[in-house]
Amino acid sequence: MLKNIADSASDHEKVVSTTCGWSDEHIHTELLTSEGMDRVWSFQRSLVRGMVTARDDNEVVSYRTRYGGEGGLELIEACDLGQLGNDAMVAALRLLKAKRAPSGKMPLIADRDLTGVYIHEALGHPCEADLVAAGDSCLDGKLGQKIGSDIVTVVDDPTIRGGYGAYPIDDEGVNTRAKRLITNGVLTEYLNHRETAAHFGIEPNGGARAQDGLHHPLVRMSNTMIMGGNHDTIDDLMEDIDYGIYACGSRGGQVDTGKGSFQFAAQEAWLIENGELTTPLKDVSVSGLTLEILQNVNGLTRDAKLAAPGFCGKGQTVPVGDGGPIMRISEALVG
Amino acid sequence: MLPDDAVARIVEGAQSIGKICQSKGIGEWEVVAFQSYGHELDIEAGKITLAAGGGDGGYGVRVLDGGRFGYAHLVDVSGAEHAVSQAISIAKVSPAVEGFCLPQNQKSTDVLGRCDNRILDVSPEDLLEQADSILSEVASLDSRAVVTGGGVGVSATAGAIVTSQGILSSGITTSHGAGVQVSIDENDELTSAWESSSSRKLLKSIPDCIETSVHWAQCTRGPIEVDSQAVDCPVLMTSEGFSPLFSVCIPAAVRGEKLARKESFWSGNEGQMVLANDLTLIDDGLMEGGMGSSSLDGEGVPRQTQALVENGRLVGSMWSTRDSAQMVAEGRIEHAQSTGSASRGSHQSPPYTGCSDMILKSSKGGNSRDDLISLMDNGYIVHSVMGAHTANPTSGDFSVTTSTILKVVDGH
Repeated sequence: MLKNIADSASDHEKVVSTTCGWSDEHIHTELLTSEGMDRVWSFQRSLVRGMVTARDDNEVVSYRTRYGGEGGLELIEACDLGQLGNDAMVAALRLLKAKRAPSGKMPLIADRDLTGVYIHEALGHPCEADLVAAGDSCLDGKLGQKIGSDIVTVVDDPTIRGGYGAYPIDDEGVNTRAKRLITNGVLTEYLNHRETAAHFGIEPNGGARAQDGLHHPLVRMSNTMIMGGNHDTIDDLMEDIDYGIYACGSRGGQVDTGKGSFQFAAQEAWLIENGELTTPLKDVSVSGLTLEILQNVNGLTRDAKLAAPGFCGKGQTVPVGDGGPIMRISEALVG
Repeated sequence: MLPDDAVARIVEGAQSIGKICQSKGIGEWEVVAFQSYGHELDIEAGKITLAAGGGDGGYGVRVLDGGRFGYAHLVDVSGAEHAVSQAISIAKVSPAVEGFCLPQNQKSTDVLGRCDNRILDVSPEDLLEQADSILSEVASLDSRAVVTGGGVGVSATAGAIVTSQGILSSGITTSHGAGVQVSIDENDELTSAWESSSSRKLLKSIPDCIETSVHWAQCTRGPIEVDSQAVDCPVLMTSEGFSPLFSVCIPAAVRGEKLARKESFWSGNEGQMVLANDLTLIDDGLMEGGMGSSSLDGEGVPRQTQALVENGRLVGSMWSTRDSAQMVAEGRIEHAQSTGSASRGSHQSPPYTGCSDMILKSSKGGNSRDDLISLMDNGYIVHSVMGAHTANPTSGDFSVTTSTILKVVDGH
């Protein structure tokens, strides 16, 4: 399987290196507590990943690809791994010719991957109730308030089967359910584990996750998504943009939950000029303030779904799924 | 914190796994063992919120047969038969790396300051006292300041490596860390700064990072507006601001296999000027008290102090035994050998090439911070960056943000 990715990703003279990896895990948990809880649950996750490095004289670029989720071998067998490798190679070759991004505030369209990272970093983390309780969230005291545009609805849902952040029962033994963090722009729910739920006098909502049996459960995200909107295609989102950026794929991000500032980086991007994609760009980074950017979301395609699997670090590392539709932000700081 | 017999126990366990390897006729094998214990306290919202402690450890076994290697790990020596068989079966289906042999026992240099016995005696109550002192200190430095996150912790690790090539080494390392996120939230304005300290030696009760954190939360209040358009200007990055970017981009660029595979932005520049001619980059594996230093690397090869860039010229690269053999076997490089740069994340994974304690220094000597500010005339001081991990280690490009930043005007 890995050779399939590697061979298709290497099929060009400018590709100098490809690396591929596979991981799968079977998670079996048994939880016994002094309250009489005695629960046992098991599930699996699988992941393949590849990285293509291409070079043209002194210009060197790399493109990373991932595929996986909750499930076993059947998940990977359902993926056209040759196509996955080829797509990564084509993207790397495109990056070789890409220009550096302009900087400044401008309209931004984010693909599904980047939309997912944005909503994970900018909104998901500040919604974690342990940070809210610690006074380290820009969303403290904002439950019930309008914090985003009307079209923004966000869920964190560990019950999405196949999502890399799926789990059937949380690590305190609480049944999982979908959490609707924002409904039509209104902040409606925080992510809680039992301790924070007790702090706020509410029921826990299954947000407790531990990296493994050696770590204590923290409030964590699972599969976090913006729900779809009313636009059919990316062309619909681009048509009235004179000058902006279309950014794709994620190289990760970070958030200062207290200040509500965030930064995330795209794998590749294009300039949008007069409603059309023009110049390919590389090493694009987007930053902003959560409460400003959520208000600036002014277009979403209909087809929300999870994007590539990811990992989230918060002292402990856990697998997560992020995604959404293609998203348009009227103004974001790009660099 | 660490049982008195921890080292003896893991050496005995590693040797017994080695005997199983021998009994199965494996020509070359290597067993590593780690056992660590520690305790820590978390601080949230100005309060101590969680005390935790515990231990972790196990064994990793690497077997090598005709250049084919297999790796398996285990927690208890009772599972050694199965783990060794697993490593053998993995080796059988792994591609052979011609010329790959495990390293022989070599003379090494002792590295001082890796273990502080005082840390072994630190109790959870001692940590509570330290955390209380830190909270009090922050309040005394600025009554508005609150430690919104962070904590203190100590740990000790017993480690050992035993190989078929005559390497037998063991020892204890200790560490003590403290970190605080200090916030000042007043008049609808929130400023904050994260600072941390870590050492193999016992930290003082109030580490310097505490005052620094309060300072940056104070001095970034009342921010001015700046133009969001790009501008070229001098930037003074403090060590805390520079290090995260440096550690993402530079160690990867001087890994031997990255250079050989042309994956490094410095590939093809061996022997060429890659930095300003007063700058020298050293990977010091023998630094007294260095967090990454030790007498032997993760494969049992003696660590060294190695110049990677000397007066601006790329003169070296970091190698592990396997990577050097593989790159030579693949014909990507004529000759390479281990530089004692094999690292191990834990017993659960085979060694990989990595830096120990990497330092950038200038032959011009050190300027004081005030001198540097005066020389820059107009520009910015950046003390931390957000998104350092999103820097591109392949190209070396980065685009990050910061909120601990000061503007310099006319050298002030």
